[in-house]
Order: sequence, then structure tokens, then C-alpha cells
Amino acid sequence: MTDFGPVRYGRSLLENGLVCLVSDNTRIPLVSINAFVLAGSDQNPMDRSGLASITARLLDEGTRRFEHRQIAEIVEGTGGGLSIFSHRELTAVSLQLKAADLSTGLLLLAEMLRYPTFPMERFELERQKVLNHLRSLRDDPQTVGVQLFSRCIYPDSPLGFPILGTLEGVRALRLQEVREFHGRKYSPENTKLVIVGDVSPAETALQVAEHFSDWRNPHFERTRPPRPERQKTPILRRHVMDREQVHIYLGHLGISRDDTDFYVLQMLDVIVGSGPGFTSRIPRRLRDEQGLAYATFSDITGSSGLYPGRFMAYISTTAEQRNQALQGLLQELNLLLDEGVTDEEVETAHDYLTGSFLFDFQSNVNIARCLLAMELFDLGPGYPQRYGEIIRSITRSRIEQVARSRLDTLNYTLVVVGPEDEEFAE
Amino acid sequence: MFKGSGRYAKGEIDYITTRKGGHNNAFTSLDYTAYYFSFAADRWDPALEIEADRMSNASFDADEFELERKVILEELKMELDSPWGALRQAVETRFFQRHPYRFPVIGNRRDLSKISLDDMKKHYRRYYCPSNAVLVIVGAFPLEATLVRIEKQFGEIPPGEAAVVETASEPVTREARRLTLNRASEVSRVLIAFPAPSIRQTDHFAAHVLECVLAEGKLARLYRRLVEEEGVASLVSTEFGETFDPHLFEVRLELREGVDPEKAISLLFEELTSLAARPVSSAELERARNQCITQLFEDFETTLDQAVQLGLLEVLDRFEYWNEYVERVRSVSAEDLQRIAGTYWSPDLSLTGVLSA
Repeated sequence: MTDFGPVRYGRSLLENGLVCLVSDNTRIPLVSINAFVLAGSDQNPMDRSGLASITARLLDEGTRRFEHRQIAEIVEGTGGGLSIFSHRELTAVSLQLKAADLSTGLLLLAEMLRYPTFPMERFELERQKVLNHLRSLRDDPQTVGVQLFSRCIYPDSPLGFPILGTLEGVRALRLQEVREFHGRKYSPENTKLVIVGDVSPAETALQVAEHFSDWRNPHFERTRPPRPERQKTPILRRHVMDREQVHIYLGHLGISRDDTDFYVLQMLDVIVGSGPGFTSRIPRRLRDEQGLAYATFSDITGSSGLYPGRFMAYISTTAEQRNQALQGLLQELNLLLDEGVTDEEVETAHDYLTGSFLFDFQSNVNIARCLLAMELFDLGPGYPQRYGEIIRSITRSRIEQVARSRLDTLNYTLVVVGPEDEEFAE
Repeated sequence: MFKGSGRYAKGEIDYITTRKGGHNNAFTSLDYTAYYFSFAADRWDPALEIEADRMSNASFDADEFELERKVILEELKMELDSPWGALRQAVETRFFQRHPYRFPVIGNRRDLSKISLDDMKKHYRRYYCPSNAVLVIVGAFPLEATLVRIEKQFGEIPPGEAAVVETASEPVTREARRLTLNRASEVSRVLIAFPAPSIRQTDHFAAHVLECVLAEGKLARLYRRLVEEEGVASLVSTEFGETFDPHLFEVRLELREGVDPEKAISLLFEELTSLAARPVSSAELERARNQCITQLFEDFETTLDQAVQLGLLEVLDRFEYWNEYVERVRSVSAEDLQRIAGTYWSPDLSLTGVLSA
């Protein structure tokens, strides 16, 4: 058992490769049962965007023992909740139940992961729901902008498509492909179980073994998309939408979570664009001092994972102020590269990151996410204790050096979504 | 309120919070404004002094006022650029004819452009005072010593007067109302608002349970009927919250391609009418009660959650509401749900907003 103040957890590894992390948190009488399967949109073929996502959405639509209505009865009857989401590099199946319902939850989880039946009529229903949702997202300028930005950052890669897929990709999906995707990608060595709540870790580990120790998948295979490369020339994309505001996205390929500069860039994020309140430069200058925007930020570490995320600076503003807003973003980034950061900014970021770290362990779901990150990125059991030391060892000169080598204000992607404007197009 | 007060220069509140590894923010609801801090328990000491100072000594610089006006106008534009934001604002402002709930919380463009620094100062002087405020502290802190500190920080501030809330009663029009938004849209969206009980009415508990029957999970009535069986909608969601006076229960539908909004609306009304006519099964009732209770636990998970929930209840009613919640929800009967459906969520009391594809 590892103990770091408020959160304790135990780790077990089944013979089939399944990793199980259990943490007892007795603050509320609930338990959060999570399976993270490394089968996200990264595993999709290029012409089948949305495959991982629709596979995940069908896990609770029928299994060997239960039909979809029964699954909903089991979860909802006692007031529980079930959410299943695909992400870029994994699919998360999360049950929130009363702690007393742990064993029922594990049985259901094993059924959904191991024996989904993928009924044809449920596949068609989900496909129609997804297609409609994709259409509705086209009304949202922020989503349109982020999607365009991703396509530019990850060209020729499944990482560049929306997790839900594209209209074309989802229309092309066949049920057989869903079954095959599940057959190849869902496997114990590819799955992390994280259970947090008012439960006994020892008893929980026994129950996990009961439901999962005989899980084998001889057909398991995992593909790795080509490693994305950072662009070498500028890219500009405009999308016209009849709206009052313009949304501006500026940036390029970011870093993966295991990058040696990760913590330095966390410091940089706090200083430049995603610190709390209006303490970091971009929100302070562009929002608080110039009144240009309600929403503006920049971030490079937030999207890092198994694959490089994106460095992105964002602002939305009234169409007439678009030049000023874009120049403002660029000016802040150039100022950072030209003049560096101050000692006071570095001290503030040290204090903030080390002082706020404990907020990551407040809720069952947050604790589960942190334990997953520790497992996935091999941060080691002493990571929470070491975090402060890692952050405090980062110096001003290191931040300046990393900023200059990792941020590029010449070869970046610029996406602009909003009303037409010929002058700006120049 | 973040731009300077007697002891703190502009930006200093954020700076102090950040140096302590904390967070702060504020939000405004229909009935109250809340300011909050979250800190590790060993370093929350600046929070009381900051709140006491800005309750009585906010500076309100004229240039800062103009800058913030610009920021809020951007926030408003962002909301109105979003299809749901625009539809919601249209329906909510049209629903009420007399009650101040007819004004959006963020304000409307005309008023935001007209408000003067003086108007804001008057508002501040009238409402920001101890008699009109509730202070909530949750977490690991020494009680007695903290009470002494609170007295020291806030005890000298003139008490002021608690706000007298003028409750304008709404005329009841028994006729389903309708509005249409005209703008380009990829899918049709429908937002239907019904009157709903306030937190001070006992019906509030049963309304929560009925909301679960209608919209919580895949067994919920609206999901099953509109999404699964009839295939008219791809998304159903509802919203119902805690307000001082009766406000709204809202149902949002995103319609499948080619579906006539009239068909979806009439199916929704049919479901509500049938809930008023026939009692739900005991299993359905039990499920909805359980969902409400689990939701309560989740709403109280973090210390900030607890502080916000206790604060809003004390402002709107009394914080003991939460102590009684589980028992009151458990005692909700099938007949109570019929009454809510018939009395509040009746088609002829609704206002429907439609944004067609």
C-alpha cells in the first residue's frame, strides 16, 4: 500500500496482464469503477474515423448475459450512473454506484468489456445519434475551429479526426468492423482497472480476479499511428460562419506526457496562458487589461498524452477586433521568446503548481484519473511526494531555453472561424 | 470585485491566491452572487481578509469599469452565437412577463451599454453588506479560532439591510406559447419551458424525482420514447434548479434530420399528459428516488461543492434543506408525480422555442 496523505492505493497485476488499482476513499458512500482500455481513436483506420467511439457506445447495448434494457435496469435501478467515452488514446467505461453495489458493478463491467453482442438495431440507432450530433456540432464555431486545427496539426493521421468521427467515416462504418475492432483491441494486457471509493482494497482485488483472471485475447493487436511531425511551414485555414465573434486558434504540435520538458512546460503554461484567474500573461493582458475577450488562453501540456498534444493559443472576440486580438496573441508569444520570464513569475508558478496539486485528489473520479496517469506514464508510486521537488527544481533559464526550443512563432497553424472579412484574409 | 479594494491593488487578489496554490472565482445566478476561494487547509488565511475588505472597500475605477463592460459584451456575444444559448435566452426572457426572472442573468445588450459606474456603485452599497450575505467555510479548520477571526474581520462592517425580495406574481395564461428563432442551423433544436416550483415549496422534491423519471439515464421516459422508440430526437436533456421564486423546468431536444419539430413537441406533450393521467410503477418511482439521492452525494463530493450547496440553500431558504433531502425524496409518492406533471408541466402552461434546420 502506498500512502501519500489523503490518498492510498494498491496495485495488482493479474497473470493475463490486467492491471488493477484500488483506492479507498470513504468520504461519500459511492464507488467509481473505471476500465481504461487503450483503444481510442488512435486505433482507427484512416477511412473509418469514429470506429473506436461507436464500438465503445455499444458496450452497454447488449452482452452475453444481459440485453440493453437489463443493463440500464442494473445501473439505474439503484441510482447509479454509467458513462462510456472514447478519447484519443483510450476508451473509458465508468460506473458510479453505491459502494454496496461493487460486486454487481464488476460483473457488469466484465460483461461489457468481454462479451458485448453488438445488436444490429442498436448499432443503427447509435450511428444515427452520432451522425446527428456531428451535424449539430457544425453549428458551434468553437468545435469547428478546434476540429480544423487538429486536422492541420495531425495531417494523414487518425489523431487528426474528431473522436466521434466525421460524417463520411461514420456513414461508412459496418457492424462487422465494430465486432472486429472489439475482437482485436479489447484485451486484458491493454486494460487498466481503477476503482476508487468506499470499498476494501483487499476484497475488491479478490472480486476483480474472480471476474477478469480468465480473460484472454489471442487476437489482440495494437497499432501505432505514425509519429506526428511538427510542421515546417505556416498553415492558414479560414472557415466562414455567420456569427458576431471571430474565434482564433494559433499553435502547432505539442508534446507527449513522457517528454523530458513536460514539467518545465507546465510552468510555462501557468506563466503564459492557463494559470488561475488573470495571473498568466495572455488572459491578463488581452482580457483584463485590454478588454478584448471573455475567453482567451494558451496551453501545451493539457493535451499531452501517449501522443504529442497541441500547443494552442486561443481568443474569441468581436469581428472588428480580430486583427488586434491576433496581434495580441502573437505579441505575447514573441515577447516570451525575446525577453523570457521574470524571477517572480517563476516563483509564482512554483507556488501555484505545488500548492494546488492536492486538488487533483478531491473526488473519486479525479483520483481515478490521477492513478491512471501514474500507471500509464510510469510516474512511479512516489510520484505525488516527488511532484513538489520536481517543480521546485525548474529554473528560470531552463524555462526560457525550453520555451525557445518548443514554441514556434513563425511556422504555426492559424485557424480563424467567423464572419467573412476580406481585409483579414490578406 | 477583482480589480482592487482598500487593501488590495488590481490583480492582487488573484496574485495572492495563486501564490498560495489556490483558486478563486465568482458567479451570478438568478437570485444571488457568490464569491469563493479554495485553498489547502494550511494556507487559507488570506481569504477572510480579502472578502471582508471587498465587501466594504471595493475601489471601482472608471477605466476598469469600461474594460469589464467590454468583456461582458464579449461573453454575451459568445452566448448568443451558440444556438442553445440564443434559444435559451429567447425562451427564458419571454416566459416571464412581470417577474425580474425575465431578464437574463448576464444582462441584455441595451442595459449593458447603458449601466453607469454610478449605477454599479449604488448596487454595491445596497447589497454588499453583512446583513445580506452568508459566509460558508468548509474543510479542516479550527472552529473557535476561526469564529474569532470572522468577528475581527467582518464585525466592524456596518450591517446594512437584508434585501427585500419583491415577488411579482406572474399572470397565468393557460395557452401553450410558441416562438421561433430564425438563423441558419444544421439541426433543428427545440427548447420547451414549463413553470416549476421554487426551493421554498414542498413540491420541489417531487419535481426533482419527476425530472429523473423523464430524463435521467437510458430508461428515462423521454429518452425511450423520443430517441429509441420514435427516433425523432438524437438528444434529450432537461434542466431544473434551485431558485427563490418559481422558475422553470426546461426540456431540450436535438431532432433527427428531416423530423418535423411539431411531431417531436406533440410526442413530448403526450408523455407529460400520460404522466399526469397514470401513476408510475413502483420500480420506476424507486429508481428515480435513488437517482436523486445519488445525485445529492455527488453534489457534495468536494469541499467547494459542499460550500456552494450550503451557501445557496442558506441564501434561498435554509441549509437544513439538505439534511431533510433524503427523507423527503424517499417519501415522494406516485400521486405526487402525477400532481407535478398535471399542475406544472402541463402543455398549456409551456412556452416552446424552435430553431429549425
